[in-house]
Amino acid sequence: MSDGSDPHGTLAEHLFRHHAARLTAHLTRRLGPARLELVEDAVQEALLRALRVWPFEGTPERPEAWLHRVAWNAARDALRTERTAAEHASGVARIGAEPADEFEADEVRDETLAMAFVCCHPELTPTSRVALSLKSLCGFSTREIAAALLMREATVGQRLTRAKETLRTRAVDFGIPTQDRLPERLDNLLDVVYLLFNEGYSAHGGDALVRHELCAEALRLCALLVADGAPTAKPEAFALASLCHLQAARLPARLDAEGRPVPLAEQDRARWDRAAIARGFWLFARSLHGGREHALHLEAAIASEHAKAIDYAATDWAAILRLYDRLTAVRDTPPVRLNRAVAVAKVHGAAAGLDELAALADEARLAGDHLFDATRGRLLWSLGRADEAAEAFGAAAQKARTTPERALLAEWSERARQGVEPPAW
Amino acid sequence: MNTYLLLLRDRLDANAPSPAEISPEDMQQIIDAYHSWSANLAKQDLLLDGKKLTDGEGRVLTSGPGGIDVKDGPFTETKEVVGGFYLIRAESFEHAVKLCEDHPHHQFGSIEIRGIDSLGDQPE
Repeated sequence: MSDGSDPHGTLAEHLFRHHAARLTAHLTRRLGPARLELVEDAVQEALLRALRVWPFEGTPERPEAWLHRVAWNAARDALRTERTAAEHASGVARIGAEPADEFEADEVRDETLAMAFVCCHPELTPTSRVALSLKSLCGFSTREIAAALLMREATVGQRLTRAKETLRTRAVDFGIPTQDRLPERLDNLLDVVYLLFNEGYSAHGGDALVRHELCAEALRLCALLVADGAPTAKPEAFALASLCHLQAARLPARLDAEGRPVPLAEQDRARWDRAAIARGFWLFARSLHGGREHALHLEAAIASEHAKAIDYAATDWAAILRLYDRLTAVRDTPPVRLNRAVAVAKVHGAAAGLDELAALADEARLAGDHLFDATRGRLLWSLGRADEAAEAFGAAAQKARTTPERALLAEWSERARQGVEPPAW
Repeated sequence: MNTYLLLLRDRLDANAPSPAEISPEDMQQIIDAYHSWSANLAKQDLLLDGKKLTDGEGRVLTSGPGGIDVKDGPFTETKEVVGGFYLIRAESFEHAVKLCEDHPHHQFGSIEIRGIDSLGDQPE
């Protein structure tokens, strides 16, 4: 690894975070998911040793091997203590021989993927899967998870404890699921990665709308899922990777100088990340090789349509509407129908869009989502119904959960009330 | 140029951050901060050495009427313990102090600067 060549140099970005995850996966393979707690303690101990020693001695030439050895020793000591306490040696895991210093790339990949399947195991609740993935797969601390998911630290801690308890009592296996179970298990995994990305792309609360590090982690996991030869490199995984890249491409244009969201219509497309778009297109093409049509294919196709358009006016809304029609057939959720209503409005006019919205009003209200009122406001505004638009934006502002969104919606409400011409949408 | 010994003491009081709560990301930032300090000195050719002392292990020898008494230490009843040291070169104590002012260790403990008595090295 090149990250250790200069003993006083800056460490590779997120080196510790990702080594922690890497070591956790390796030791969990050797000791089994039932001992995840012991594994985490051993990894933490290794990192703490590094924290004590490296400042003086510099970074070792191969930091990963160094951490690996120390974590392995710590785990072995903890196991010995456990064995002594249990007295009966039978049934106690053996750690085996000291690990080699070199790591095969394929082995690293498959261990991490197997760990991902542990973290997203169907025995765990969906929220636990997300928290455990951030902890064990991404190397986040409890505090960082709490900040990322906008939860209380104590709640995250309880959830992690319970998740590890479940892994233990249900004797969850470490490994890639067999072919017959893979599609279903992969779906669970893709759900978590998608959720991490979305939470990063559009936080559900707090002061910042975008949490770049969650997006970056989701993209990292996507790359792992579709790596050459990975058992998870299935069409739906490519579709998710494509979708995340195409969305991430817009991040540089997604916020204004004050951190407020910039609507798609007003984004400066010159600031879109062309490399991410190219990668997204390539991944999308790969996602079409065989397999069933997954909802993720349709979502990626919609994102492709937006990425293809040279400017907002060039957007092929008729194609997007057709894709939404197919998407609602397989994933009929309020957010999908809300986005479909926007496409309807673009193709058939704002009034038709409003009719669509009216049809899903009850569900959307139940979901308590500000996007419903915000979208309604924009359609009303474009129809010249400024007072109603102002009211809708006001309602949306009250429901919006991030500070930047609240500010933008309040401003729109004010502008509509003052009779300002609506911006392009 | 003179040689100075920097003794880095770690605070052991209750206010010290609990190791279990430091995230990998935080640890990396701390290490990077130490490294950028030592890289800066190394660049000016002022860093001679740096070593970490083992944690939680040491012996203190004292002589008494019964001979030499060996105790585990020096950890009992101390609020700070030396965790590591550097040997650096500096023009003067003022210069050495200046070099240590922005050391990231200040958030974890204190730094004691001692001059190495170089009288024995003086040319004839």
